[in-house]
Amino acid sequence: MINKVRTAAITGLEGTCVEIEGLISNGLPYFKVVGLIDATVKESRERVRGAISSSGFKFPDRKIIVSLSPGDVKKRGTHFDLPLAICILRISGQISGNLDNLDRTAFIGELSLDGSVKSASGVLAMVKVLVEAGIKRIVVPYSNRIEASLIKDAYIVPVKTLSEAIMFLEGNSNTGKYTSHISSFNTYDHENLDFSQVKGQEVAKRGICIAASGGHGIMMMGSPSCGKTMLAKRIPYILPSMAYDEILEATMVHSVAGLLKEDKPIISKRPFRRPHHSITRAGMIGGGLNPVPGEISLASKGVLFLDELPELKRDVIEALRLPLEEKYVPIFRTGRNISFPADFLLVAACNPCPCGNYTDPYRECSCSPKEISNYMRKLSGPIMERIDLHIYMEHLDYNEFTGSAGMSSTEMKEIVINAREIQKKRFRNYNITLNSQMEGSLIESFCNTDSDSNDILRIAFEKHILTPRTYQKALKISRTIADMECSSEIKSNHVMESIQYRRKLNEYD
Amino acid sequence: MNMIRITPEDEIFPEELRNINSSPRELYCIGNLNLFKNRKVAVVGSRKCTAYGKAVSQNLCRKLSASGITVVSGLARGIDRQAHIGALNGAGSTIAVMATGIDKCYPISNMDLYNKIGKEGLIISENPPGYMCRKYDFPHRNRLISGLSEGIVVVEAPLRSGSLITAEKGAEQGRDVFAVPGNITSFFSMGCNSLIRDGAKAVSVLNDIFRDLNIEIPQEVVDVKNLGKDEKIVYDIIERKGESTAEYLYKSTGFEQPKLSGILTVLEMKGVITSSMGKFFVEKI
Repeated sequence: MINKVRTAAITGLEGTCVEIEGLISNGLPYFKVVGLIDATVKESRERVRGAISSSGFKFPDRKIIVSLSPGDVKKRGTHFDLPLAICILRISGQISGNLDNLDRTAFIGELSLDGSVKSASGVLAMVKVLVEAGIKRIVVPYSNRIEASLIKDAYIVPVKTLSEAIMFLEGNSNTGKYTSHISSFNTYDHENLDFSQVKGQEVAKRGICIAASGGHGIMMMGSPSCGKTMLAKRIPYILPSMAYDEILEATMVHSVAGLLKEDKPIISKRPFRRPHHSITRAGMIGGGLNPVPGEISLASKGVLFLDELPELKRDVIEALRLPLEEKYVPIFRTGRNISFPADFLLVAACNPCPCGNYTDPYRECSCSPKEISNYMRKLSGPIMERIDLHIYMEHLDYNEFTGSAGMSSTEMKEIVINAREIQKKRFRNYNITLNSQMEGSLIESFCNTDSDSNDILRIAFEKHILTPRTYQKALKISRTIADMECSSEIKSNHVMESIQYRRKLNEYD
Repeated sequence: MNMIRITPEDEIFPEELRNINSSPRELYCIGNLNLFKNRKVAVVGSRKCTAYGKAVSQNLCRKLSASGITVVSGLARGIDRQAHIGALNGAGSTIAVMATGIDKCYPISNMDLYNKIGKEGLIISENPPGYMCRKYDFPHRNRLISGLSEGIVVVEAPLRSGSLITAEKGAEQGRDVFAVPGNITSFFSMGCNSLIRDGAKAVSVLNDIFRDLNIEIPQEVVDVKNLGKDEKIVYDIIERKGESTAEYLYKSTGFEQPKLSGILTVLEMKGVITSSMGKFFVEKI
């Protein structure tokens, strides 16, 4: 007697539909799973055996062969437990009732020895591929129900135990379709971060507002404790709210990385990732034998904050180059290429020197010129080409620190949303959405400067205030500033402001 | 441009040149003869020089000229050229002492300077128009540069440089000799550094020269008339504080963020302020 049970496998973010077939025959008790399985699936034999026994069923004392197909797709993960158990119970005739719809139902879930169903990673990606293949009824672990329900057409059945799944199959349960409302998960954030809490860094806040509006990479340089991290943490809150597609993608990445939690079942707020500077290349861009997303993919649709940028290893910085340009990161493994999304706003911060006090008027810098120049040298090369705005900060006096609040997140967010709308409209035929993504010919056709601003750019260039590289950046930033003011033409005041956000060289450069 | 020939019998003939060895029998001049009456300092150096030498030369001469001191140099490439350029705009102006005939500009690349100095400064030569200049005329000319001046500043000079001859002549004539020190590894400063070893006065800061020659140190003022009202406000704050961050300026002026950035850009383009590591400074050396 052969019967099929459906589930899915996952590689990177890509799911594949998997069919499980079981064959039970006479012979010495024997249980074998075949089909290019990983150690995690091999071990599931023992979990399945335990779960079946403790759920009040009998694990058959016969010869059982279970095959997972397609046989050339690597199968990894603990979520094969539940479909394997269902398959064995089915072929041993322990599930009664009309099982016609078994063929249109898929199962995902890890089993515990006591028969309960535990959460699995990557559920969202698997639900997506199953629904696309026409299998809409999907049994998922209870704790994964919310992410699974993000797929609109899916009929999600959350179960807590193996018995519940069987009861559902037999039609004896009141477990029905689960539906969630994304909007109800928008309030899980308790941090309450607002730019009005940052006092006395109005210049920096203006720079951040521009960066967020045009998606420009931004670098904050300043002595320790001047508020770089505080500012960076608040940036996700001035970006537009996430659209459904963005929530889906971000949740999928977090799901595959196994980072969704009970109190944070979907990613509906812009991610803010802040990897420590000791991070490895694989940790940053993703990797491993079975590739998992790295920090840049987890930050996708949100903010990647690289504190102490010069302390990052050179190969890590180098590896950011392609993702920053392409908005995705390809990972090459023998026989397969996997790509993860990497569409993030880059926010970097650094001290002016290794000890941090080089520009500080009150604290003495203990670095030698050589140390400073080595530190600064790391701030060159490919990553700096992707950073359009540079802002310089200093720590505050007591008066400023206790002074009145400036721009609030609400005001800033409004500006950002309006500016992004304008950009979206402008680039609707060009496959980009933000000013920072403009290249060569697009800059020429969209950065239409009036004659005054042309003069300013020319003089700034002739006076060596701008270089060919910073010239282009200034143009792009001018475009964003003009968008923030809803001006279709770039005017002289936009250009003049943008020139202040260039990288200001110093003697150790 | 009118060429005038003067001899020691003329009253305008510079007093300093009457008393030196091999005093010239005649001088051919183009330009403002009154510059002979000014206090004069020679600024010389090699033709091949570094950006450092150029900057020092130009800034020093700008300051000297602004205090009414006339800068004497040899209209050569490099340091000499920068010295003339720096001095031309100030009150002291500049005297170019040439080795060639008075009608012939050498090197030809300094033609622009030759014309300008002829109008605003003074060009002199002991050789008549049409004189065929020889190699040895150049070191011979150097005695006039040092002779005219109360002090000689050697800005940059390698070990075998004509400027060292000027310095040597100056010392023989009893003038103060200054040398601007450089890296001891720099080929371009070895002559200067050896001058210091031999007893020339080292210039640790530019004001040393002013102090030693008893010249009043000039207060350089930017021409604030060219600045708009708001630009002046921002400029004044930066000048008063010495250095200033954008955040501080925002607080003290109360200007809107974009407006302030614009003003800073304009000030930078006008060359009255510079910025480094996020701070703004008033442009001066």
